Amino acid sequence: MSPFQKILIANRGEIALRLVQAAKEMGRRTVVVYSQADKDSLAVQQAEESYALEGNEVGETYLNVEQILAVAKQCGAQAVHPGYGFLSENADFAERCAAAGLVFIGPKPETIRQLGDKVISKRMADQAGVPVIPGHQGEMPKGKALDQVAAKIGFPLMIKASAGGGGKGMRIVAGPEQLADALAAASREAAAYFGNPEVFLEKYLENPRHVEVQILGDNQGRVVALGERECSIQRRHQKMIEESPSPSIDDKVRRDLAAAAVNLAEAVGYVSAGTVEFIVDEKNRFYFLEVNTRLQVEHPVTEWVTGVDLVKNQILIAEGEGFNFDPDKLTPRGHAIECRLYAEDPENQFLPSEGRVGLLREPARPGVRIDSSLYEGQEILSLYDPMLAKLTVFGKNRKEALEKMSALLRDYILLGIRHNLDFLRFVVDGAAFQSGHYHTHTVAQLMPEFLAGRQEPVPLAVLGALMVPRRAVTTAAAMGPATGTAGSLAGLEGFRNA
Amino acid sequence: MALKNKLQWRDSELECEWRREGAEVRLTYGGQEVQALLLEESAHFLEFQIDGKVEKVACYSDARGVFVHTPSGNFFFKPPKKARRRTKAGTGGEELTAPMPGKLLKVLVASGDEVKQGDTLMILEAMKMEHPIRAPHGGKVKSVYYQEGQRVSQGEELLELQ
Repeated sequence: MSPFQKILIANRGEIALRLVQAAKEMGRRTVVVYSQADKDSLAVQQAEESYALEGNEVGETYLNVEQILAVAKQCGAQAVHPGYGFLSENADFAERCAAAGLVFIGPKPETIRQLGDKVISKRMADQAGVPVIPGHQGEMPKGKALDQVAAKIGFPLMIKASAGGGGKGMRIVAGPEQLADALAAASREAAAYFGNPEVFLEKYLENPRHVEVQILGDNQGRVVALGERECSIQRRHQKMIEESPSPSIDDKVRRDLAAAAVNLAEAVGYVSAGTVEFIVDEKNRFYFLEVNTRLQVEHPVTEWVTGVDLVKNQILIAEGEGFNFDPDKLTPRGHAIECRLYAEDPENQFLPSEGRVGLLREPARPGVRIDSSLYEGQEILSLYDPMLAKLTVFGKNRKEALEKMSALLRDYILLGIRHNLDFLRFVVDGAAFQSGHYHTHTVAQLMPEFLAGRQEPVPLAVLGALMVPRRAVTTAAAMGPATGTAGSLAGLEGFRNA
Repeated sequence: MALKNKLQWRDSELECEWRREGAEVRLTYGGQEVQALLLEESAHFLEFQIDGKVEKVACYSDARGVFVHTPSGNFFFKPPKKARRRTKAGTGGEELTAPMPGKLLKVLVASGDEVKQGDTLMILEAMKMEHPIRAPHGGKVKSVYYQEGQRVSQGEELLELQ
C-alpha cells in the first residue's frame, strides 16, 4: 500500500493538533472536523482542510458517525485517525470505516470488540498466561460453598456490581463473618442504582498501583513492548500524573510485565498502538486490568524515553509498512514525567470549571514538551473533557526530571480559569512522589494537607489582586456570548478606586 | 491616603488596607503588615521587591474574578458578591445553585412538589460526570428556573426551595 494522500482526524483539542502535526511532518494531507465551539481551534487552523459539524454536543459532533463518514467521503480521505476517547474504541465505527473503504488507524475491529469486553478480555488474558485478579463471577453460591469461594480469593475482598462503575455498589469485606450481609446489601444497591442485582467478588488490593505497558504491533504479527508507565496519581479513577520508567518496580518485574503484555497482544494478533493496564500490589505482584485499544493520552512519556513516535508508527502500520525503528535495538533511556493540566478546581472536589484563557505563558525550554491546544482568548466550556494540556519533561534521570517538572509547574502561567496546576506542584514536590513510593490512594491522602495550605493568600497575591494593571482587565462586553456567569466588572473596578 | 478594599477569598472577605507613595506600597491584611517596592508594571505583570527579593506576579481579571500567578502558586479572588441575599426576603425560600457548569440532564421536580431532605432534585452533567443536586432540607419547591437539556454556569440559581 502506498502512503495515504489524506487523513481525516476525528477528534479535538490537544490530540487533534498532535495528529495534524505528525501527519503533516510525514507529508500527508490532514482534514479535521470540528464543533461550533471549536471553530477557532489550533487544529482547525493548522489542518489543510476543515469541516464544520452542526452543533456542539458530542453526539452531534465528535461522536456523529454518519457526519464524520460523510465528510471523509466528501473530502476524499483514505484513512481516519480517531485519537483517544470519542470513537477510538468503537468497534462498530471501525467496521463502518472499512465498509466505506476507509482505513481506521488502530487495531482490527474484532480486537477492539474482544478486548473492550471486561469479561472476555480477562478470560483471554488468563488463557495467555497473564495473571488476572482472583475473583468469582456468575452464580453466587450460598453457605459453605460461598465460604470456600471467598477463602480461595482471600480477604479482604471486594464486592462489585456487574453493571456498575464509579464506585457505586462497591463494598470491601474484611472477613468471612460479614460476607453474607455485605453481599445482600451490595446486591440491593446494585439493583437500585443499575437495575441489575448481579454482583461479583474480587480480591481487594491495599494501596495498589497502576502500571501499564505500551505495545505496538505490526502487520506481520510482531508485537513490541515500549516500556511501562506508572500512572498511580489519580483522582476519580482518572490519571493526573504519569512517568516512565516506573520508580516502584525492579528490572525483573519490568521484564515480566512487558512479556505478559506482549503474550496477550500476540495471542490476539494485535495491530497498531495499545496499552495493557495492570494493577500492582505492595509485593509487586501484578494482575491484568484491561487493554486500551488506542493511542493513550500519556503516550508522550513513552515517546521521550524510547525515541519512538507512536503516532507516526500508527500511520505507517495502517499504510501497510513496518515500524520506523529497529525493535531489537530499542533501549529506553532517561526519565520522563507527564502532568495533565485540567480545567478543574482541586478546592471544589475537582469539579470542572469554565473560563477564558486570559493570559497564557507556556515555557519552552530544553527537556520540556507541551502538548497543548490553548490560545489566548479561548473560551473553555464544560462541553468536553476538562483536560487542557499535557506538560511533559525529560531528564537524564528521575531526579533531573523531577527538578524540571517542579520548575515547569511553577513557571507555567494560565490565568482566567480555575485549574489544577498548584495541586500538581504540591504532589510533585511532596515526599510521596519524590520518593517514588505512591499508589492510587495518594491523591486522597494528600488532599487535607493541600487544602490546609491554602488558607490565606501570600502577600504578593494580594498585592497583585489590588493592583491589577489596567490592560490586564477584560471587560464583560469583550467576553464571548457563551459565558453567562454572575458578577460584574463594575464591582471589580472598586478594587482600585475605593 | 490609605485605601480600603475587600477581596473575596474563598468563602470569606479579606479586608485589606493599603497605601501607595511613589514606588512604595504598604499593605495590611489578615493581621500582617507588608512593605513592598513596585519596580515595574507592564500589561499583565507587576514586579515587586519584597523581603529583599525581586518577584514577578502575573494578573488577569474578568467578570469571573481576579486571577493572580505568583512564584508560590496561583490565587483566585471572586468578584464582589452581588447585593443578593441567599434567603429571599418575604418568601423564606432558599435558592440552590449549580456547583459546576454543565447541562441539566434531569429535572426531577416541578414547582409545588414536596421534597424530603436528601431527595435528588436535578442531575447536572459535565463531560464524563454526573452530579446530583439534592435537597439540603425538606420542603416545598417554590420555583424551578431551568428545564432539562439547558446549560448552566457555575453558581447559577437552579431552583428555589421553601
